[in-house]
Amino acid sequence: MKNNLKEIKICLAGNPNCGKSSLFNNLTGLHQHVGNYPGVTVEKKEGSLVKGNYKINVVDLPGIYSLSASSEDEIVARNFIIEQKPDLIVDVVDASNFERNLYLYTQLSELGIKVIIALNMIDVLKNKGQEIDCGLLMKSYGILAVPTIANKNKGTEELIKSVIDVYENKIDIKNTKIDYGDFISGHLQKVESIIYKDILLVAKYSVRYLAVNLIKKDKFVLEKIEKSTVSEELKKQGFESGDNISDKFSDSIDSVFADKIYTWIHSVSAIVIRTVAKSKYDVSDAIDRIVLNRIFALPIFAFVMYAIFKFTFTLSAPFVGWFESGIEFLSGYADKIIPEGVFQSFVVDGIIGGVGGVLGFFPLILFMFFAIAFFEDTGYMARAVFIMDKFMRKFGLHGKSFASMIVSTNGCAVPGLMAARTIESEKDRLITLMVTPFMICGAKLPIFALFIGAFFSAKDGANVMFIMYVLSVILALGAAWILKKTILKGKPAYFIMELPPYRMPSLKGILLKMWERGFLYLKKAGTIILLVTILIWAGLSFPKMGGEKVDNVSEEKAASIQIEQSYIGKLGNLLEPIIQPIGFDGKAGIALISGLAAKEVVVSTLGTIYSLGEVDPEDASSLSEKLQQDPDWNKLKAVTFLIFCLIYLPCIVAVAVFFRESGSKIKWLLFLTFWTTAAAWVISFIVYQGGRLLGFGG
Amino acid sequence: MSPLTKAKKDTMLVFSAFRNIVDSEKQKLTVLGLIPGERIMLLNEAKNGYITFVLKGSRIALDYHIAGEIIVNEVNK
Repeated sequence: MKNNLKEIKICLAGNPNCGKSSLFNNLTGLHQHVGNYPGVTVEKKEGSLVKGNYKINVVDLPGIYSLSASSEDEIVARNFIIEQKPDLIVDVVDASNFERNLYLYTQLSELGIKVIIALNMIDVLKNKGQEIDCGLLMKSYGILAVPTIANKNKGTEELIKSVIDVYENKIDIKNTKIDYGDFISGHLQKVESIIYKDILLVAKYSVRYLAVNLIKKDKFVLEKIEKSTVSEELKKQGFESGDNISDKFSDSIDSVFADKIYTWIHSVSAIVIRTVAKSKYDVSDAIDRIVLNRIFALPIFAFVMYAIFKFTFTLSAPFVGWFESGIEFLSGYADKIIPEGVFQSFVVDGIIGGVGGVLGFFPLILFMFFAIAFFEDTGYMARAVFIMDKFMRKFGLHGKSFASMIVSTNGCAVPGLMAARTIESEKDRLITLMVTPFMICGAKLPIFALFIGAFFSAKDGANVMFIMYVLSVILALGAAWILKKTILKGKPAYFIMELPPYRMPSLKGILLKMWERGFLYLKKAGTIILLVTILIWAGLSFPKMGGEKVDNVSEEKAASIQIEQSYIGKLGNLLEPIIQPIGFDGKAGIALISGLAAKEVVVSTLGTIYSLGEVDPEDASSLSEKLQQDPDWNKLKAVTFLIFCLIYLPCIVAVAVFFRESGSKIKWLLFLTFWTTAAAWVISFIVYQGGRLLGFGG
Repeated sequence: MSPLTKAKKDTMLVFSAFRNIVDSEKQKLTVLGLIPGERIMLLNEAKNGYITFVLKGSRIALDYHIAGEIIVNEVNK
C-alpha cells in the first residue's frame, strides 16, 4: 500500500511570526524530522503526512520577507525554494497583515511554481473588525487562499485537501504576474529574450524571476548566471535596464519595483478586505508603552528572567527529588537482583549511576523549557531582543545576539549558534558565535543543579543559580567587548526588526515546544551520554586490581585504589598538576574531559566515579549527598568548578556547529579552543586562589 | 520635511525619501513597505535611541542611526 502512495513535496514559506511552524506541527504531528534542533527556525524542518493515496512531504522554512535574502536563515529559505523546486508552495500569510505578507506571495508566484495561500490568523483579523473574501480573491485574481487558525488547528484539513486538488489540477489557480507598466515591462522583455537563448538556464530557473532580479543586480542571481553562455550579454542588458529604470523614476531600483508591487497589493486589498465590525482594542500598544518604556524596560526584563528561574527551580524541586529517589531505588534493586561481578558493576555503577545522574534533572529541564516557550510565544522575547539591543551594542553585540544567547540558555548551544544566522553582519555574527557557548545551556544545567544542590540550601539555591546566569551573561558581554575592540573590529550593524503583536500562547503549542526540546535531552541521554558513560565506566573499572594492593585494606580503600589505578584514573593523575592550582583533583579532571563529549556527561562521570567508590548498596545515597560528604569538595571548589564548566570548550557537537557556522575556518576553531580553555583556567585560578586568600577555602 | 528622529509621538507621517542609508538597510525597509508616499504612525520618540512605528499594520523598531536617515512629512490634519 505504501508503495502506491503518490508523493507531493510542498514547502511552507512566509514572513516571520506568521504561524508557519504551528501549521507545520498541525500537518505533520509527530511525524517530523527536525533538521537540527528546534527553537528559532533558522534551518528547514521536514515532516510528512498521509492522506488517502497521497504522501505529502512538508518542509518548514525560516521566515523571509522577500526572496532577496540578507541573513543566513533567509538564504536557507530562498535557496530551498529556488533550487529544490517543490511541487507546490504554501505561502502562510498573516491575515491581519495582509498587504505586507502579500509582497512575498508576488515574488513566489513569479517562480513558476504553484502557490496556495494559507490565510492564517483570521481570528486576529476578525478582532480588527475585518474579513477577507477568499471567494473574490479566487474569482478576480485566480489566487487560492485557505483560511486557517494554526494555533487552534483550524483549517488544516481544508488546506490538505486544497494541496491535493491543486496538485491534481482539479483547481485552476493562476500564478500572479505583476504589471510593472509599459516602460519596465519593455526592459523585462529585453532581458528575458536573452535568457531564452540559454535553454539550460530556462530549464533550471523561472525566466521572470531571473529577469526581475538581474535588473535589480541581485547577487544570488548574478552568481547563478555566471556560467551561462549568455552571461556577459545578460549582465550588460540587466545593468543598463536597471539604470534606465532608476533614472526614469528617480528612485532606487528596489524602490521602483516595490512601489509597483505594493500598488498592485493595495488594489487587491481594497477589493477583498471588508470592514464588518468595529475593531476591538489592541492591547499590544498599551503593553508596549509599559514594557518598552525607557525607564521600566530593563527592570521589567530582569524581573521576567528572575521569575523564570524562580518558577523553574521552585516547581521542579519535588519532581527532581522523586526522580532521584526513583533512580536510587533502581540502583539498590539492581544491585540486589544481579549477581555480583562485572555485569552488576556495569549496570549499577555504569548505566544507572552514570545516565541516572543526568536523568534526575529531566523535570528541571522541562520546567525551564516550558517557561521559555511561554515567553517566546507571547511575543515578549522579541521585545527582549529590542530592549537588549542598545545595551548589547555597548559590548559589540547585536540585539539579535541576545536571541542566540536566550536560545542557548537552558536549551542547547547548537540552535543558539544557528540562531546567529539572523544577524546580517558577518563580524557581529562571529562575535555572537564566540560568546554564545558561555551561556548555561540545558546540558550544563545538571552540573549547576548538582553542585548548587549539594553545597547551598534550598532557600539560596534559586538565588545562586540566578547569580550564575547573570555571571554567564557578564562573561559573554565582556568577551564580546574584547573581541570587538581587538580582532573583530567593525562598524556596528543596523537594527531593524518587526515586533510581533502580543498573543496568548496555546497550551498545546507550549507543551509541544517543551516536549521537542525535552525529547532531545532524553535522546542525548540514551545515545551520546550512554555511550560515553559506558566508556568511562570501562576506563575506571579496568585493569582490575588484585593481590596485595587490595587484599589487606578496607573495602572503601580498595575501591579508591581501583579507581586511582584504572586507565582513566591514571589519566586523571596526569591532569592533576595542571588543575591543582584551581582546586581540582583527578576526579574533577576526568569529569571535565568527559564533558567535551556532552556537558551532561560531567554529571554522569561523577555519578559513575562515586558509584564505583560506594561499597554499601544499603546506603545508596544521591550524587549530591556523596559530593557533600566528600572532604575533597567544599563550597569554594564547587563554585570554581562551575565557573570552569561555564567557560571551557563546549561539547563536540557545538564545536562542530560553530566550525560550520563560522565559515568552516580552522583559525576560528583553534581560536575558540584556545581562548575558552585559557579563559576558564585563568578565571578559575583567580576565583579559587582569591577565595582562599579571603578565607573561603574551608 | 525632517528626519524621523525629529517627529513627535502619535503623529501620522508620510514617508518621503531615504537620505544616506546603505543598500541593505534600504532594501529591508522597502520590502517591509516603506516606499515614498506610505503613511506611518510614530509610536514613540527617539529619546532612548530607538524608534517604533506602525507600517502597514506592523510594528517596526529601528535604531536612531537609521531613523535619522528616513525623511518624513507630517500629514496635514
